[in-house]
Amino acid sequence: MKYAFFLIGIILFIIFLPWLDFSKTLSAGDWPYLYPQNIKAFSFPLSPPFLWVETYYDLTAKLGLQVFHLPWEVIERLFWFFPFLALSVYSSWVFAKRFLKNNPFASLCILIFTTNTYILMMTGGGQMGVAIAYALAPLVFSSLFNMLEVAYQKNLKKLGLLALLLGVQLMFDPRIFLITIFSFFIVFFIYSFMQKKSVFVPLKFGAIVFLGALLLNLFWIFPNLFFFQSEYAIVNSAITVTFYSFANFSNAIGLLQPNWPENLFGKVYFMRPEFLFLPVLAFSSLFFLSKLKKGQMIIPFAMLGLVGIFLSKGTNPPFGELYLVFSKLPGSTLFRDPTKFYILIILSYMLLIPLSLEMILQKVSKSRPIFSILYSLFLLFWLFTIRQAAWHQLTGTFMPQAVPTQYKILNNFLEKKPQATLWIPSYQRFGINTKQNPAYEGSQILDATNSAQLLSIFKTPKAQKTLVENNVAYIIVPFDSRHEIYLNDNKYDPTSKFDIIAKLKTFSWLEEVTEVDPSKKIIIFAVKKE
Amino acid sequence: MKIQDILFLIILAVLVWKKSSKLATAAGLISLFASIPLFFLWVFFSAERLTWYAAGFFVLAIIFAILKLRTEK
Repeated sequence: MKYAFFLIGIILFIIFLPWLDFSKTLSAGDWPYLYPQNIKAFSFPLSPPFLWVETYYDLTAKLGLQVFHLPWEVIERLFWFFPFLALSVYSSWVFAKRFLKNNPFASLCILIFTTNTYILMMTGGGQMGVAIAYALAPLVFSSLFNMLEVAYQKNLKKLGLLALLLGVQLMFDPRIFLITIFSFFIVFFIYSFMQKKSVFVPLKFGAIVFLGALLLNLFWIFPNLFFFQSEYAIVNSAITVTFYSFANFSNAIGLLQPNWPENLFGKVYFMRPEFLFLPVLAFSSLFFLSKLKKGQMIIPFAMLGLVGIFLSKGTNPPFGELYLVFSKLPGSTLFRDPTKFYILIILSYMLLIPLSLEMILQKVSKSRPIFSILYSLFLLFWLFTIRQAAWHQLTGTFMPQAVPTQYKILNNFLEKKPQATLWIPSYQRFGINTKQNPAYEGSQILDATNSAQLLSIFKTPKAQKTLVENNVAYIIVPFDSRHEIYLNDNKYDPTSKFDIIAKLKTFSWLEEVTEVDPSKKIIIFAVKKE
Repeated sequence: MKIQDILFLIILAVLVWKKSSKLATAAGLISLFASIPLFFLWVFFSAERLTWYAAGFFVLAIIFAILKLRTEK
């Protein structure tokens, strides 16, 4: 067992090694970069509307900077990325101990849970609130199952701790929280139905714990209560749900995140057939229902996996219309991205795969060399499926980047006086954006949704006047160090940057400033006041 | 309805008649195994359908297993 943990530790170390380079920030995708000025500007209580996780985000940033005097590069790892990793390992191990007692392959739970393509794309894209809620899912799931035991229900302290755990997960991401509860109910109801057990008593305690978790989250639910309608009901349409249904059935059954490995929004790849060995292995466990004492857990978890597969593909066939019906329910807009239901598949496979391997071992031989061979073969196969992660070919947070010198110089230059900037085509994550130096985009002050529209507004007399009125001193064409702004068919193409610069040069009320960035990676135009 | 779907329905009918969880599981696994080379050869339509059928067979296997367990208890 120690040998197995050692191997899994090495694999985790290799995959998450890029996160250990503290000289670079992990800011990528949805994960921001915060300068000390940004963090100092955070104030409490937060003014609504704000996101569920924002209190933790602001508090930890302030704690890291103003108490421990840490740079953002350390704060982001200390309060987000490393906790995600530690919680994933711990939580999946608790799950393994709960459901796979004495199974020699139990440690594979950690590997399957922490390094599958779904969570690698999630963390790579910087969705760390969702990632931490995901990391807690197996722990919440196991704890809810423990609640079924009578001894647990009589222990108020344990019930309180469970409510706290659920409350923490709810704070990090309510969608993942609801999906975890939903997963538990699928398994619980099928298990109770099979055992002919009453569901009333556990449900009663479950409701108490659920209420406890809600009460713990009133600090963000209550202030935002009147904003929910306007903030979260914007995209409740069939078109949106269909648009977000990236995974098809084969992706879901193969536990393959559809954007793997480049993680480009909307870019879906052909099915990689090697991933289909995972469901083969997982559903092989159905052969062994009568052989294992814990065989009765196979049925509910296999069903959980199948429900997850069906929901994860969203409106794609077969029977995609059912997801459209689901999307009409109140609150379903939270699940407009159906890949969140991959969690059900992950929870299912992380139980079924070790069970199948255990049965294969019992069939072949119980000897230690055979176990080692089977274990190593699975590790090699798993590594093959996520080879892009092992070879450090993933992008996003798996490709940390130091703040470019050009932005440090620009920010120092801008900070000298209170003045705003307008970024074309859009703001770049390393630019300064504070109360004193706000960074605007075209949509914010000139009602332009894209750079072409903005440049045509520039031809009208109102453009210069509006910019001056908004204290915009400079127009900035950013250096796209992360290759996320100048894109053509999902590929980096700086041609549009050169077009924008050429057009901006034609306006007489703009003057190019070359002394700030002599390398000309960031192009700056001063707005003439008259 | 494609020829694959008709074949699937025939096999499904046989499995329902047999009421064997193991047979349904085997049919699901065979469907998955069959889809692997098809995906490799970019025969996506049939390969994708085979994964649907696999899931269908697994659902059937689960239903039979639950019914068997309930009657044994």
